[in-house]
Amino acid sequence: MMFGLKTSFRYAFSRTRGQRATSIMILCGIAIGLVALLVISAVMNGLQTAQLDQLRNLESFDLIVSSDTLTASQLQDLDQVETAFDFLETNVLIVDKTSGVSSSTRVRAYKGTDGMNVYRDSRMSESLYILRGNSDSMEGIFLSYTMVRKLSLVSSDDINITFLKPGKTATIVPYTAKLPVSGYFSSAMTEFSQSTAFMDFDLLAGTIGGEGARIGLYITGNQNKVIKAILALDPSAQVVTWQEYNKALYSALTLEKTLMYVFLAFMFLIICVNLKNSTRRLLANKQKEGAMLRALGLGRRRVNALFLGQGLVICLLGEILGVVLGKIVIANIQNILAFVDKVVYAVTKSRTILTQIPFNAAIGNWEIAIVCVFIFLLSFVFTMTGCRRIYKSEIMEVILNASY
Amino acid sequence: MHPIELKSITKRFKATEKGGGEITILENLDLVVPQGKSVAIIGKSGSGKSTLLHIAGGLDSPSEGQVFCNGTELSKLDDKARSMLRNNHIGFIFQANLLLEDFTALENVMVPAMISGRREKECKERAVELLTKLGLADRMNHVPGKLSGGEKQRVAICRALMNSPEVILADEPTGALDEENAAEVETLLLDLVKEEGRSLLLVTHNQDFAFRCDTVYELKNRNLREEKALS
Repeated sequence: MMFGLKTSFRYAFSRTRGQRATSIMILCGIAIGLVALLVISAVMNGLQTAQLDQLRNLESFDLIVSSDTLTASQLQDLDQVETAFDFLETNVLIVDKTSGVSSSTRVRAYKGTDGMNVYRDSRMSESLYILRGNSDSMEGIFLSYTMVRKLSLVSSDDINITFLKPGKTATIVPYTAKLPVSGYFSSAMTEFSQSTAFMDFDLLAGTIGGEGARIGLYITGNQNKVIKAILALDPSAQVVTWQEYNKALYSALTLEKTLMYVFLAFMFLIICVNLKNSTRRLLANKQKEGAMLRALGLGRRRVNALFLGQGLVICLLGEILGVVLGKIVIANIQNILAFVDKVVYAVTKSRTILTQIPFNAAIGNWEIAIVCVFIFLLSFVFTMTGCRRIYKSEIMEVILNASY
Repeated sequence: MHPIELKSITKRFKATEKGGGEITILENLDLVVPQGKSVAIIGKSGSGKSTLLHIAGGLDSPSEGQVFCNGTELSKLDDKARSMLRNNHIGFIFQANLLLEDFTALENVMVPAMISGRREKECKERAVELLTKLGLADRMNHVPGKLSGGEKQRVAICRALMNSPEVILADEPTGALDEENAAEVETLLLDLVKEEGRSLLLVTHNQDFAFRCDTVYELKNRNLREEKALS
């Protein structure tokens, strides 16, 4: 046993016939491949998580409930409900005062339970930043900073907004109101910022009527359990999940994730080919010595185990190096991207998009473990098949014909 | 029951050129290596001497015929049993010494004993004893790359003797040595036969060395012809 381990380690880093260089090349190949796999996974995970968080924080919340009988206060008391609030949404036309051109946007209004400020005190604050104005008392309209610049507005400017409200003779009639711009906001979702404005809930309800009001929920636990509890309170309630609300985007993200795995599988394939060829070379370097050991009385299985040990020592060290480097790169990814951005800017005079999207690169330990186990198994399989090829021949045939 | 006995051995190789068919190297050959005796095989280059030695040691398989080692037929043994038999009963000295490059002289000598599972301390003591006996006390921590041809061959002899095998199979053990070293190795091997009762199967071009053995055969026309009979 000790002889085998000692010999495996010695063979792995033997100074003869460039064996050490080959081993280091394999080790580095595994490490670099692993770093690439881990970092890409972490960045993609981070970007997707950020995207999904923003969707759930801003666009759709976790659940949207339409009910004639339920109130936000009732739902706030349910288990696993973090925040419940009334919300109202309508499409409006905002007129550009300089050009006179109307642009379509949507106005949203939230009303928390027990006087809670949804913009500031709920999960929404993680993705929505009030740049100017007081969200406790919205007297006019809050526009995104993007829109403020687009419309060449300053704070307290009045703008003409055309609502569609229920009429006396027709179902819906246009109604234009002049409202002051009482604040600006920005959000992590560009599309959201470009298409959304906020108003006081009661003011909007007074303008278009409060019949279309729904209840938005942020939840902490299992979405299905919460839906079940809501339906128990009102079987006729309609509950829309964030996945359903953002169906198109959610499908796109799922597709993106699938493609990412396909891409990673290709990378994995490249690592495999490298591993296979290098393992063969390692075995070829030592096949003559393997045959000599067999001549001296070491059984075929023990010689296989010895070469297996050699391959696995290299693989294990490569994996340890890869995981450590990968974790370091992931922890410093923002700095690295900033550096890359500087270099790209210096050359092309344009910024890379990754530095402009806030995300936290993260990868689970189980994901790392799966990748490592796969590489380890591949190393095992390639060494075993390599050994089988070598030991199909007679001992003396190997000794006399080995290239080394 | 002899340490090595070959019965009706035939060995054929596939010809390297396309459509060349098979080449017969050995045909219906018998050989006995008796206990405590030395047997030498001489013959021209390419006559199949080394192949015969490899077959006798279980390093190569005959196309036909049987090889017995102490009465046990080698082809009946699985790889593990055959390896154990090689480890415990046979000591090989190859033409090109074939030492493990990553191991020192001492470690190379220890290898057969380590394979058989003996304790490292015990192996070391025996290896030091053998190396000292063969005048390599000051070279035991050198790797093969730092040893001369003669020193490497002596290390290979020490390795062959490490597990005190009953039979030593030597393929041109003095081929790469100068006269002085060759004479030393010859004497050493023949003394092992005389003093310790081991058997020796020797393949050599060196007629003088061959005729110092108890029996000499010439390998000619795919078979053995006795040149010197056991007295």
